[in-house]
Parts: sequence; structure tokens; C-alpha cells
Amino acid sequence: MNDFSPGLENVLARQGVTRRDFLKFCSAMAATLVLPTRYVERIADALATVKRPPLVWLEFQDCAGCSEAFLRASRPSVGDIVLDILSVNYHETIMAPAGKAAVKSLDDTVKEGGYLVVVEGSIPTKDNGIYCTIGGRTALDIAKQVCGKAAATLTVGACAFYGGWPNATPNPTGAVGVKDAVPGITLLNLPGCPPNPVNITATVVHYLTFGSLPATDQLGRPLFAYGTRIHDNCERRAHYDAGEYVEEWGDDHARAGWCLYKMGCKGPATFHNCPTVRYNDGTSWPVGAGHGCVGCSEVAFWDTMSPFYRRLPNVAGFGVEAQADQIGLGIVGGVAAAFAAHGVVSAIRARQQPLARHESDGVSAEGKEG
Amino acid sequence: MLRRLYVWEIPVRLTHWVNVLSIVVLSFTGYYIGNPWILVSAREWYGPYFMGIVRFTHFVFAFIFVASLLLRTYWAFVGNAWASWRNLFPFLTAEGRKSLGDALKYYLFLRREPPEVVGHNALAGLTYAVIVFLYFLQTFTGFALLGEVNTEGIWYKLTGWVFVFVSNQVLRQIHHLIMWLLIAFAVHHVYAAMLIDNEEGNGLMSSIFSGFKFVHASLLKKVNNKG
Amino acid sequence: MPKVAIDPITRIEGHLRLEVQVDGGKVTDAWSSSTMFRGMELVLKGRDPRDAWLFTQRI
Repeated sequence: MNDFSPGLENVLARQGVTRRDFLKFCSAMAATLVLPTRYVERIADALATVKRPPLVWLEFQDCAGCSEAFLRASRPSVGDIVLDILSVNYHETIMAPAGKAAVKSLDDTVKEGGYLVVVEGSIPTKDNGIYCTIGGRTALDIAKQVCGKAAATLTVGACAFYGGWPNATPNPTGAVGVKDAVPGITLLNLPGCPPNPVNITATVVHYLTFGSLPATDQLGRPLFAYGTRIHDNCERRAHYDAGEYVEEWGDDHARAGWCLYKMGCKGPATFHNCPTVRYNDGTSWPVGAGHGCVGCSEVAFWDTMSPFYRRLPNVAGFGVEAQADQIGLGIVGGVAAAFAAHGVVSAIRARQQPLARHESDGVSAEGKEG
Repeated sequence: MLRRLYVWEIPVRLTHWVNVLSIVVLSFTGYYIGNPWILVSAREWYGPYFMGIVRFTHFVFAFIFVASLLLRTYWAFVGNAWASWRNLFPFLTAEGRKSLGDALKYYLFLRREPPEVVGHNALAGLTYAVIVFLYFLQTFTGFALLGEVNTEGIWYKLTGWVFVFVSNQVLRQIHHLIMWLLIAFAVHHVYAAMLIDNEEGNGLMSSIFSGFKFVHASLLKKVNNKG
Repeated sequence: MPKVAIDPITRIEGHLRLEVQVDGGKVTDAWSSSTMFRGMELVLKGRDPRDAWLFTQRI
């Protein structure tokens, strides 16, 4: 049965979380959602009085990285907070029951309705979706049923967004994301590999405070987290603009914290709030730690952002090392050589077969015509 | 008899040279943006913002190039016969199709006589159609990439829809590749102009500066008969 | 003699199905099957080797 407890604040007080910490959490959420400070109180009120809506967490072709990321959150234990605000009735990685008893938890929640569903992992579609089954049912079947009847679906991670690395060339299982497997549902995508748990929490908090999902871009990603490029918020941007780049791993420029553009950083091509929110309670993020962004929140990033240490993807059919610039230079070289040869032949031809008209030309002093 | 004929009007020549300058600057700055190979000292006045200056220059010349394209497009409808958009699609007329075949045979050494026309020969015209398409694609991909800086702005509104279908990395790939195709075209273009100038003796190379070509009286009659 | 299937096995990473043959209160046979396949080896083939670590982390 779904559990509805009294407001979050009481739940937290029983766990020894002070009101001060609770308000700090609400402030952090307001900041993440890019809301002005006057919303902090509204968030606090909403969370203090909200009933616990049920949530089921589905895992398909996943690595459980998104669950791990989410459970790593702290201060004050975001995972605890959300798990106490929400009644998480089904999560294969952490739930107590197994087998038929686990499936029963899912079925009961679906029957009652009004639940949120979080999806992690891609859904295989090839060969009738046989490449991922749970309790004897294909992932595709489960997704269609559970997401179809949910109040809202949140996808976490690249896999549930568009298919993730299982979708990368050659995509042996026909892996796709929820938006392609179950069209027409209320869907919000939180891509990233893994996504930032702060963004997941903020989305849930938004839903509980305002009763609706935050505004999204054309790919269904909330704008508060995916509205600006990493490049435009990066702490190393001044180095980029100054032409100061790391040339090799571990060189002096790397030690000086220079821009990682030449090491293949995909910040200019990626929309995500990593530079501002960062990971592990704002400890750091890839560029801050000295490694370029790999563009993990973008569609098909495993193919479009790789090779990760070069700026452009390889061009299919031209070999592992070929990129647009090498191919382009080859084209120019080829054209130049071809026309150099043409020129030689033309010169020979002109000498051996002079054109008739050249022998009788005169010039008249006519002016403009036409 | 050769007659001096005014073929390339001022907007045609002006936009041609603005394009040359723009494409050269856009290529250098564009290449640097994709592969910043120049080492810059922060002590130079341009040092602390070198990539910024290069990008800014790229954007300025992108707009200059677009202005030139707009002017030339307008002129393609109001200019003289040799400035007309019709030159880009010679295959639309039977005469054009024949001219295309003749020009192709000439370049492949299968026919001695170069194509006898006042303006662009048919093959050149068709090539320009391809080039104009590349210009459009380059401009579009360029503004789409620029648009990502501000998803609320006008450029994203005009071009952002494309990102539902294709990654910005693919757009970048296309943007890089077209630069090289245009450079390859420039090599061919200069070569072909020099070749035809030599073969036809009509002052072709000078005409892109002065506007005047020297054409045979017989060809002139054809032009005048067309009115 | 009943064959019991336990699917999903929970509190593990990934997916697992166990089938167990029970005779007289004792398990006499057991089968395990992994119920999910993605093909990472196929995905890695032909790629820049310096990218491999990022993929394999997501196994």
C-alpha cells in the first residue's frame, strides 16, 4: 500500500535534521532551479506539508550509475530526503523483496495510479525487445504499461534519454530511450552519464512545490539545468578566449589550469549545469579536475562527441584517424594536383593545336553594350 | 573583330571581391577557431583575448559575407542578363544543355573549342549553383552554431529547430568540410579563369576588375538579336 | 517437483534470473540466466582506444 506520512519537516525532525538544515536544503534547491530567493519559503512550505506521492524506479539496459549517483547525494542526505518525501515502492537495486514479491510492489502501485516513474537504462527494441527482460516481461512491455499510466515520467541518464552507449554504433540490440519507445506520455528528461543528482532532486522538488514539471527545451530537458552551454559558464573560459590551451597531459599549461579545448573538451557543444552546480556536493567537475567535458548530456554523445580527445567525430568510411579537416585538406590537394595536371595538358594542347581565331583578332574601340 | 563589351556590373564585381576577402578571412579565422595552433604571449596587446578577437573577426566577416550574398541575390533579379540567376541553372533550356555538354567536352580534352559565351559558360554557371548552395549551408550551420550561445536569441529561433534532428557536432563537421570545399573551388576557379583567358583571348581576367570583356562581333550580334 | 523462478533478483547491480529445482525441500538443480544484453564488445570495435575506458566504466 502507498504510505502517506505527515510533512517532510516532521519526518526530518524525527531523524535529527534541524529546521536550519532543512531551510538550507530549500535554499540550495531554489538556487539550482534558478529561482529568486523569495521562492525559498514557498519551497519550504510545500515540502513541509506535502503528502508522499508514490514513485517507482525502473531499470532497463543500465549500469545502475544513475542510481549510484543519486544515492551518493548528501547534505542533508538528499537521497534520504527524497526517499522520505516520496514513497519509493520499487527499485530493484535497493528494495527488500525479490522475485514475484518485488513485481507485486510494482503491480500494486501501477494499479493504484497517481505515481511518478523514474526510468534508468535504455530499452531494446530489436527481436521484440528480448535483450532485456524482468520477471519474464520485456523492458518495452513494462515501459509501455508503467509509463503509460504514470502521472509523469522522468528519465535519468543518457540511456533512458536516447539509448546511451547501448545505442552507440552499431547498436546491436536496437536500444532507444523512453521518448522513442513510449511516445505521447508526460515526459521529462534528465540526461547525463550519470546526471547530477542535484538536478534530479530539484526536478522532484519543483514538482512537489508547483505541481508541475519545470520548463523544458525542445528535447524535453529542463532549462534550469540544460539551458546554457558548459562553455559559457566554464571557469576556464578566459583561458579559451586568450588562446591559452593545454597541449599535452600534465604539461605546465595543465598545471596552470588552462583551457582543455585542444584536449578535446566538448564544453562548447554541450548544454549542462556542471560548472555551476558541480558534483559531490559542489566538490568538482570534470574540467575542474583537469579533464575535458565529454558532452554526456547530449543525444548520441557516444558517437558525436567521440573520439573524446579530438574536436570532431571521425567521418565514416575514412578510417580511424580521418576528420573533416584532414579530409578537406586532401580534397584541396587533390583538386590542386588535378588542375595542375590539366594545366600542363592544356598548355601542350594550346601549343600543338592553336585556336583559329587567335590569328585574325583586332580590337574595335566600341564602348559599353548590353 | 573584337568588341569591348560591359558584362560584369558593379554589384557583381563588388560582391565578388567582398566574397574573396570574406572567405579568406573567414577561412583563416575559422581554421584557427577549430585548431588554435598559434602560440600567443599574454604580454602582447592582443594576447589576453586572442581567440576572442579571432572569433569576433569571424563573426564580423560572416555578417559582411551575408550582406554580400543578399546584395548579389537581389542583383540576380534586377541586374543585366549576365548577372541573372538564370545563369545558375543552364540545364533549364535546350541551348543551355548543349552548352553544358560542349563545355564538359572541352575540359575533358574531347573538344578543342572552348565554350563560346559572353557571360558564364554553362558549366561555370552550374558550378556556381553548387557554390551558392554551399554558401547557404555554411551560413546556416554557422548561425546555428552561433545560436547555441543564447537559446533565447534570434539565431537560435531561426536555426535551433535543426538540433532535434542532428547533433551540433555534425553541423560543425559540415561547417569545417565546406570551408575546404570552397578553398578547393577557389583553386579550380582561378585555374579555370586563367585557362579560358588564355584560350579565348577575351580579357577574362581583367574583366572581373573592369567589368569589360572583349567579344567577337559575331557573338555580339547574337547578344543584340536577343535584345 | 516444482521449479521456482526468482526474477528479478534484487539488491544486485544489473539483472539476474534464477531458476531452482526443489525436491523434497532441497534444491537439486539451479539455473541462472542474465536477462539483459547490450554488446559492449561490439560497440567498442573500431573506436579510438583512448575512449575505451569511458565506455567500459559504464558496464
